[in-house]
Amino acid sequence: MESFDTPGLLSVADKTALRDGVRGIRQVPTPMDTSLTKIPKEYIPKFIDALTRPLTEEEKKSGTYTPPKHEGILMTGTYDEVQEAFKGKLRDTPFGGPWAEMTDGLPVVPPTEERVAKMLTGTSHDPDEEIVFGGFAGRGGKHIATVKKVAINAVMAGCTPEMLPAVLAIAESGACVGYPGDSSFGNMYVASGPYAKEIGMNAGFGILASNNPANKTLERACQLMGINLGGCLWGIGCLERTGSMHWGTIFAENPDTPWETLNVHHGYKPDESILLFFGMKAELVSFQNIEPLSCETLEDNQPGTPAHAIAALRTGTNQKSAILLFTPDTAKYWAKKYDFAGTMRKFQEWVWKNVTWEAGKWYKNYWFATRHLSSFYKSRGTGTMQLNADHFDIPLDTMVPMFDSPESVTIIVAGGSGDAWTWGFGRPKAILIDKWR
Amino acid sequence: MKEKGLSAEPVYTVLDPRSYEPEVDYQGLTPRLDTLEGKKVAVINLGGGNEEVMESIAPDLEAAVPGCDAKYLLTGHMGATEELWDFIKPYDAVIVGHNY
Repeated sequence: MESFDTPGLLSVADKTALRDGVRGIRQVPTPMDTSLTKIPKEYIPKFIDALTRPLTEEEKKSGTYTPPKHEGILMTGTYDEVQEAFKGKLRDTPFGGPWAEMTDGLPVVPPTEERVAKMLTGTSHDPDEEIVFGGFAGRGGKHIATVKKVAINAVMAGCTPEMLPAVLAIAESGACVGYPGDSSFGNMYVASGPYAKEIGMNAGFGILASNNPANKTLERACQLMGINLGGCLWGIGCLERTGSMHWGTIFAENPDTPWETLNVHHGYKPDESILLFFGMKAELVSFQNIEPLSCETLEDNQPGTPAHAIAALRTGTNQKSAILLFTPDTAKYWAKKYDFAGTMRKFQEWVWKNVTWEAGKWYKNYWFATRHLSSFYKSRGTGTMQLNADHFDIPLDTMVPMFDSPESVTIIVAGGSGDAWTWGFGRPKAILIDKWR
Repeated sequence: MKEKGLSAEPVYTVLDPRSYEPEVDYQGLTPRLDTLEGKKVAVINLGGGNEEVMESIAPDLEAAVPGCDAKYLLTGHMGATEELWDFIKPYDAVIVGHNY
């Protein structure tokens, strides 16, 4: 479509086609005007032209596209010259940018051979071991990195060698590569297991604050890897309208929980450490402080009830999975008062069954109405309570769960003492940190 | 490597942090048609809002080129499936879009 992003959009389409083996595909940008009900007549000749104008000699050519390898030394210079080199030639458009080439906009720690060698002592893996970044659902194209390249970015971010296993786990998840389209896809990580404390991650007060070295440098490493290893080039391969509030946000689970810890919940041993990676529009709203039940007792002063959580999650519009995050005190209070004690599953099932929409509301949902019905139903699966092909004839006021399954609801315990909870969305994937030691 | 320059300011030799993309063998574009008259054209909407706009391309092509047989398909997804390829095979030309 035509917009100020047209050059970026055309570039993305061109590059995508090249990756599929066709270079210089002909494109016709169409108007971005949601009031239109038909294509303006002046565009029809453009389509006809694209299909009938004879090919140029350049368009006829076959060949091999050989991208640069980016190996070895980048440059030699003073500290300021290094910073300018990494900032590179800023990408700028009339309505977006400028964006730095190889940084997150901040100065970096110069990745010298010595620093990188020291960083690599943090893992037993071969520096030349390949790690492939595929972008969001592979749409960003395949990018090939190595353990050493990950270490270079970890140095730049200010990580210590002890953090490298976590950085490699983040690399395995794909890091923050953004989305070549309008949506803003967040990335968030939660560490569970003893490793988090080993490297000094924060699981208590201020988990989202800015001055815990482990949390912040790991977040930064995620962003740098997205740019340098994953092909996240804002304005070219990454065209999110606003970007996300959670771009590599990372913190540790607080093990003071009334349920099993997240590593155990996901099938790992208590002494095994994992990263839970949340992609697909991961987000957390600010901690909630809702009216207390009463001010007669400390317990009744706790904010919110499960009904509040249900109401909050119901406001999502295109989410297959949910997050509920509690401070340890609130988690223990809810588990006891609302009979969610035991394993996490009991609470997950309750949330899943109760966060529902009317079937009629689903039919009007943007993503339901604009996607081909069979495709949407296939992605939702069949044989569950989710809206699927079995439900074409159900009454419009039938309540249907919003999320795929109880396991789509992630319960996280983190933060300091006192009462607070929050909610958000994101589908988790567990990645074992220990294998990267 | 950090060295001392003439000005005594440290000098750093830094490594390239970037990954690389694999080589791609590409082919040239498919030869164009001389005319759309008497030809079959598929208009494929990969999914997105404002479906009416893309849907109107097919009849407008037919109106602009007598004898052109244009058909519209909404796939509702991004992927190239076997089903999609089977749909495209009988056609002489394809317009693929994603009207948002």
